[in-house]
Amino acid sequence: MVQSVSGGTGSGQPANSNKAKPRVLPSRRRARRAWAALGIVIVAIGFLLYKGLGNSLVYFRTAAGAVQDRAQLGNKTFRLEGVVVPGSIHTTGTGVDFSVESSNVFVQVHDIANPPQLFQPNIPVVLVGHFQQNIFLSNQIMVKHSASYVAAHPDRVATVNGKKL
Amino acid sequence: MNGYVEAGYLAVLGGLGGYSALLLNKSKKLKRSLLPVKAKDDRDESGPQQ
Amino acid sequence: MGSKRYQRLRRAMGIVSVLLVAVTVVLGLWVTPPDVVQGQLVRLIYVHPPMAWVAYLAYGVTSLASVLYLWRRTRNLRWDLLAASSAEVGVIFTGLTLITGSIWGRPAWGVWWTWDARLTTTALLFVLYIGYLALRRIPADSHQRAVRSAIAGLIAFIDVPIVHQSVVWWRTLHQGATVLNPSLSPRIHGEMASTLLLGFIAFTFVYVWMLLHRYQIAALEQNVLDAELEKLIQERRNEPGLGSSQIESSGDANNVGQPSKV
Repeated sequence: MVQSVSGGTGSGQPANSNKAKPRVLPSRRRARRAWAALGIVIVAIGFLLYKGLGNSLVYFRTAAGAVQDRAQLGNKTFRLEGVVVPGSIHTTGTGVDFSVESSNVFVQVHDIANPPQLFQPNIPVVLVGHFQQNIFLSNQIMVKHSASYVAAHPDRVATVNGKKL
Repeated sequence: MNGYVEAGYLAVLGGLGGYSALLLNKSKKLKRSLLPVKAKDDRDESGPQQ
Repeated sequence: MGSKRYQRLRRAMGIVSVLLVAVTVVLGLWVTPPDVVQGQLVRLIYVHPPMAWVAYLAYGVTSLASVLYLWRRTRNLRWDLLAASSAEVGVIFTGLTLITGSIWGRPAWGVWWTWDARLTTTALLFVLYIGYLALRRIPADSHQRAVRSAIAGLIAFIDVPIVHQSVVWWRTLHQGATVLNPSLSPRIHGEMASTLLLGFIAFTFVYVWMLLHRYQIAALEQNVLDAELEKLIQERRNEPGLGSSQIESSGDANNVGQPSKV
């Protein structure tokens, strides 16, 4: 894959056109621009590390974990994860009320935002909000989709040896 | 479909297509700039072909 | 450079890439079934993971080429050019990974972006390699630039396994791996799985084609630069009262002295 660079258009051949003629000695302006670009990138890396360390390490607390740390959490805003309990969903004027479950611990949720398209019973969700007494007040629902992909019409799908999945 | 799917495919095809076009264009320009001087002179002297 | 055989191979590669991508798009958009949960949104899965895979591959090639440059026995400027070319293509694919992921995330998760470990480390990967490319623009002679870029490229690559494992190591909104999961049991139906596999192959072909082109451009640019430098040195040598030793000891002259090594 790596080809010889010096063949054909060997370096002995002078470039004869003014087009695409790189500057031999980089101007100060070009150098300044390069340093500025690198500086911006370093700031961006710092920002991402800051956001990563602040959010990603404990991205959410499970419903069971949150209930356990209820006293410590107080009114603090955090992300709560659980599976939407079937039969618990009630649409309200401003959003939706439902319950989430993890490790047999249930948390009642009052949500004031529009749920996303995939929101449905038995789907894992991550909610942004805080506890008020024993109810979790959520202002954002994020659906945590699983890594499984199942055809809606499995009859159409056959395996290599012809058997239906 | 639902707008999002089309947008995703368009982003991929547009992004890769755009970058490919950029590469082809740059490669063409560079090759032209590296033509040997003699070849250009010969062409100039022979005048328009056909 | 530019042998007929090489050009023919590259052209064939381009044609095959376009055909494979076209088939992936047709299968992905129209032939495959909708998902039982995601519905039509599943169609984005045929392009998003392949983008990420190609980005990993591209950065892998950058790392390998960087090692080959750093290792004295294989040191050659062509490895540096290959590393840079692959990194640039990798940045394009990482950008598309972020864009397609975001487009899928909006309807599926409900948000365009969230600071979970997978998304954050992927964004970091994107910025790290932009940093690698920015570093290459800092004025330096070819060898100095190659060494510092190789080291930066290898450091940036540390993030690749972190991105892949982030969904295992931390709690994330992003789902785990469907195919390369810890139990190595793909959780995807047949027709969908084969289209996904085709997507991986198709975009890998696109990557190779792009890499071949980008490398050729890098090599041509280096040739132009060498020719210009040589001309400049000749001019300065001809200036009265200037010793040739003064020129040879300065900056890029060391590299220009061996243009065939490029």
